[in-house]
Amino acid sequence: MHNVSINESAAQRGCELSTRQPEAAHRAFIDEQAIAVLRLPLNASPQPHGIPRYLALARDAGRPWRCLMPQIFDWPYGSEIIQTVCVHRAVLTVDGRLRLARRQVTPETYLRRWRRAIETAGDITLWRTLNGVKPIARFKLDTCVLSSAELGHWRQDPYDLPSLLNAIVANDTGVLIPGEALGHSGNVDDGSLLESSDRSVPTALHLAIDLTHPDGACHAWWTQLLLERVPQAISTCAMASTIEMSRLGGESGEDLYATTRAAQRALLQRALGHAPGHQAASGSAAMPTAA
Amino acid sequence: MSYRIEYQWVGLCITSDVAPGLGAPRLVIAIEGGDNNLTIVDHRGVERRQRSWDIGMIGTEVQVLRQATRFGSYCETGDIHPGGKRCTPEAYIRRIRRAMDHALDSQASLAYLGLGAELPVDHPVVTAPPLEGFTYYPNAYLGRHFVKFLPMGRERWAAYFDALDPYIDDLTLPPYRLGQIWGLPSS
Repeated sequence: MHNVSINESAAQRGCELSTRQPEAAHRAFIDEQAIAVLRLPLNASPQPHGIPRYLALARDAGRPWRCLMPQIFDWPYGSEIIQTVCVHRAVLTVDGRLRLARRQVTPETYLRRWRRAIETAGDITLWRTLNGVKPIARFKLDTCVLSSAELGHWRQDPYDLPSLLNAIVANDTGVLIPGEALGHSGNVDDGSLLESSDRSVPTALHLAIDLTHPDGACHAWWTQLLLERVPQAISTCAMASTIEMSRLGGESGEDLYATTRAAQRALLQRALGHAPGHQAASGSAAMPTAA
Repeated sequence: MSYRIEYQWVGLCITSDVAPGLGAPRLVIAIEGGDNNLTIVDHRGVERRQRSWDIGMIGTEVQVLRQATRFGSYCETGDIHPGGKRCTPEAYIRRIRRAMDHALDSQASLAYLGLGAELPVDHPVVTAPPLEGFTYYPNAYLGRHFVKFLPMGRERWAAYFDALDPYIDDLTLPPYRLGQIWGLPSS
């Protein structure tokens, strides 16, 4: 055990290292119950290089499963997961602030646990839904960014934002539902959308992408990229994204599987149709396939 | 890719017999290291990689191990090459454990160690009422303004650690800004 080795080494060099705070044993600690590493499909990122990328999950006592790296900046390689584990979790094992099933472990043992999980990572598309909970990438986007989608679209990209949203709806990769208004920057040219009295037109959309779908990770990656490219002058709140373990549905937790594809498509068309400078027809253009 | 090479590790120990009033003994891991792509030409005209001794980790045994785990993460991505080679964070932590196990005793450590922190000008220790027995020395280097927080003698080392412990704990103060190493032989 860690404590024993520390005390032995202290005795050997003649220093009385009583640095183990006895109160640490009684302090509140994170009790890690389980971890899971899921291998993403190779199309999850346009630069696969043949090296797999992963989604790392942990479940602590009294808390639901959660993603270790909830930002979709880029899907991490195995080494990046180990680095994150070192910085955010393994450091807590040193003084017992993070334990495994109430048992104190050394950082080395803890890192070995994650390495084993990475080596034996299962395919994310084979994730067995547990009580309807699965890894979901959530986005909250301002509909006014749809009008500026061209700004974030480069010629070689397989998608622009409207076509990507159409593909997500068409392929059942995710669910699109109206959301409450975001804090707008107020920089939209004519302001017609934001000040519209037409309640059927949402000012914000929630997008929940199912990462266990074969195209889920790919679509989430492109959604993140295209929203990141939206200039802040258009909207200072173009996106809010996170990965979480939840039901595929609204923020209140209701299951929106029942939301029909036709209803989502109609919602998208309404948002695209009211977006300044964007015609509804363009939203239903032929959808390119993912790279 | 540029990375840091670490060449040698030496453990130093500070106990209450050299720092009156010090509670838990403190450990210092002195590390000789330098960038892989920065060389100097020595007095014999031989070009070699630049290297210097710095404080790599400092604090109680727990604090040092936490720092080792944190900095070990850079081994995983190849930003630190101990001995010029890739290694895992686990191997790096074991290396630091060995350095702690074979730390020099407190009297021997005094020959190589000086304590004194470089703190940002808005650091809570600097903005708080001045502590007795310390020198606060404003300084600037390469456009970076900071305050040197220097204990006046070893009898203030205990108070030095008391003041900085919270920031060593939360890893917000880089260890190499908390003191100097001198006199250890270069590799």
